[in-house]
Amino acid sequence: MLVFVLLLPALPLLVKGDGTQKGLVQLILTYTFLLAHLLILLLTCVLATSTVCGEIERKEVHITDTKPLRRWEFLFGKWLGVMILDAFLLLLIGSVSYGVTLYAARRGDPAKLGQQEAFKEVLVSRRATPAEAVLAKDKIHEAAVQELDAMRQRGEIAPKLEEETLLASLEAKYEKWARNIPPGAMAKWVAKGLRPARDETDSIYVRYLYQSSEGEPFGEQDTIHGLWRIGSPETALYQMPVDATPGTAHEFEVPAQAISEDGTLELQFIHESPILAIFQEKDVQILQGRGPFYLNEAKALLLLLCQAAFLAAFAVAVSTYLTFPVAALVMFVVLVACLAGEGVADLIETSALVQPFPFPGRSRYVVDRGLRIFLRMIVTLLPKFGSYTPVDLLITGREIPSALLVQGVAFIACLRGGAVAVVGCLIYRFRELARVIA
Amino acid sequence: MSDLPSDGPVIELVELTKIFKDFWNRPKVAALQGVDLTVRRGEVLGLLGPNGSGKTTTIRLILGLLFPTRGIIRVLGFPPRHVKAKEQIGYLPEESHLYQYLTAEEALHFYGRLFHLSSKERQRRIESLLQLVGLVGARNRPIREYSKGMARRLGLAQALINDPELLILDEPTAGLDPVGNREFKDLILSLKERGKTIFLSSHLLADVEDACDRIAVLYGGRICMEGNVSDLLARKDATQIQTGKLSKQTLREIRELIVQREGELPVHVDVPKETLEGLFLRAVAEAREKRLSTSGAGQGQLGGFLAGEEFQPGSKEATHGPQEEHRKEDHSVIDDLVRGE
Repeated sequence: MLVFVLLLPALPLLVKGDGTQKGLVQLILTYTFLLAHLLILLLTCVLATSTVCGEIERKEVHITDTKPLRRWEFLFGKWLGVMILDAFLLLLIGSVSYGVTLYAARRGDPAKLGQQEAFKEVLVSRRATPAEAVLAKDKIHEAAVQELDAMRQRGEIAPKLEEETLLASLEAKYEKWARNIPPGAMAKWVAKGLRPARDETDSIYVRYLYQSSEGEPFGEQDTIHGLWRIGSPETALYQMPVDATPGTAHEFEVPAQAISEDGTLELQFIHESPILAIFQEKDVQILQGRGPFYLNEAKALLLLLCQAAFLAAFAVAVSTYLTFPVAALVMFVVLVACLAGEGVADLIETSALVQPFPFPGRSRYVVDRGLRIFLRMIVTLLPKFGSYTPVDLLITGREIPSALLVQGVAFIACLRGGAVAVVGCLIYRFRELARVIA
Repeated sequence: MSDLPSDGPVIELVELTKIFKDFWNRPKVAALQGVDLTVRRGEVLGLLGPNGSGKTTTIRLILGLLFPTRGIIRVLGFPPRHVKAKEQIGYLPEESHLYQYLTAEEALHFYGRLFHLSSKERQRRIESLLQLVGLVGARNRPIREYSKGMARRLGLAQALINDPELLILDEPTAGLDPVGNREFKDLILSLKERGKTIFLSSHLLADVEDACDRIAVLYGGRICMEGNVSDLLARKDATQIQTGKLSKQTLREIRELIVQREGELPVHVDVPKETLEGLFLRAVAEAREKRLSTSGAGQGQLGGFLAGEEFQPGSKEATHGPQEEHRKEDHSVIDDLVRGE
């Protein structure tokens, strides 16, 4: 851990990036954050299990437990100790990495252009508002109804199928189609709830991402040309010709005067390439405001601390019953499950869990169902760290929503952490400390 | 301390049974089988027994480190794991399970804090305890560097940090040198004078004989003998006379007198020997007078609050006057020791 912190300042010299200041800063942030994430979580698991198990194994707890100390107080003290160390390390990593990124952003850039870009697009905290695609809902509905009628006439609807569900899925299909923009067509979006321009220099960023119908691989000629028109005739209208590769997010800056008085912004995209351009939901976002980057970084680190708090509580709880190597092993499994999160959940839903060999016939189905329910329960109970590790928001200068932080504290640290802590305290309460568990 | 019932038994064990079970909940070892024992306030009770007879199990049950299979345990009127009971217990385990990375002083501060002692009071008690166990010179060394005997001395200090009403000692003299052993017995007697209750286990019979009022002998998880030490050890069929050196003439006349008055009784005449303990203690005392010293534990000084001078219940802050003088005296003894090193 200390080696990691000491190596941090050397990062700008070690990594190259894509040659721009922005790229370098993003790379450093990603490395630092992901490594810190993994190291802190691992450290928490090892430390929390070893301190509790070790104390029980070395029988130091025999003296401590005969002092006027309730058993949960002992466990709470252990947890608190680990948390204080974690918080201190995160503070250290946070401040060092903040200094390193600032240094990397300023370094070797006489023209100050790259530096400006890095400070405007990475080292800020901008609030992201998704723009809603304006789709012809009635047309989508009409098309869906027509297809449903046709199916009914052909007698293709299975008797068990409810027509409403079918209609909804048909509508979803047409809506997806409507998001595909054929060559020469125009698509529209509206973003609401934005802050109107404060003065002439106030600006916003449009962030967009699209896929193409051609798939990979892409050469240089495979960029999509198009024209963005931001704003409306009533406010101010800005045009931005773009020439961008699909599959990666792009940003451009527009004066904030395009936003109307009531905080609405209209966007249009005229597609000029001979292939389909596919925009999914939330693929177009408006970034506004210039919050301080350190606040954003602090939020990201606090989210990490929430995860550590949960793991520490889990590790302490596990250690009340298991001996060190076993407890540490269990914790690694828990850690991996928490990190994999959604992936594991998908895997459980989509794959066959039981092979036909040891379970012939109907027993296979029963075992499969049982196992599925059990695994699903575990996955639901464990927090999914992936959704609370907003590296992508951090490195693209987008504000980490405070709601996410509140959710992290509430769901991961308090609710789940508290639940395992209660279980741990109960086990410990009824454990015979002087007895060796065979 | 004052909210205790002052006449009730300090430890009460009723039909105490402990059966250790294996993972599948099958009974494996019956460590205790229906033990009934009462320890009264102010007495020193020694629990004797061979290895594996259940002494340590009994102690761990009393401390709440193990739970009974059957039976009732009351400690100072509370169930064993009650915080109020633990507030008044001092426990010296069989081996010293101290935090290896703390120094003696840090460890004592830590345990003192668990009793919510103020920093001033902690400091005062720690000074006194370090003097008592003779670890003043080693107070800033981490415990992992301690010898077994030194660690035991610190274990004893740790057990006394809260000036407990009930002191539970598991094999207290194991690992102590004869000097420490003697000091330890003196300490027990002085604590007893202050009305403290002491429950100790041992298989070293000499210790028990010197220190205990009452003994209970445990064998195979049952108490097979219990009673006052003096009653149990007195031989009612013999008489011993001890006096100065006698001439052969006198001895012969005494023998004749016995035959004449009491009939043909066997008479043994012997020169009393000094005990090895006494010899050792004298040798050490002589060496100390020549200002030799060892690097480890110094000689303990039974003073400070354990002699009942500083921490009389209800007058914890009354430490002026004569006590001050006493402390100075203690310090001068310690200074001598330190200079001697």
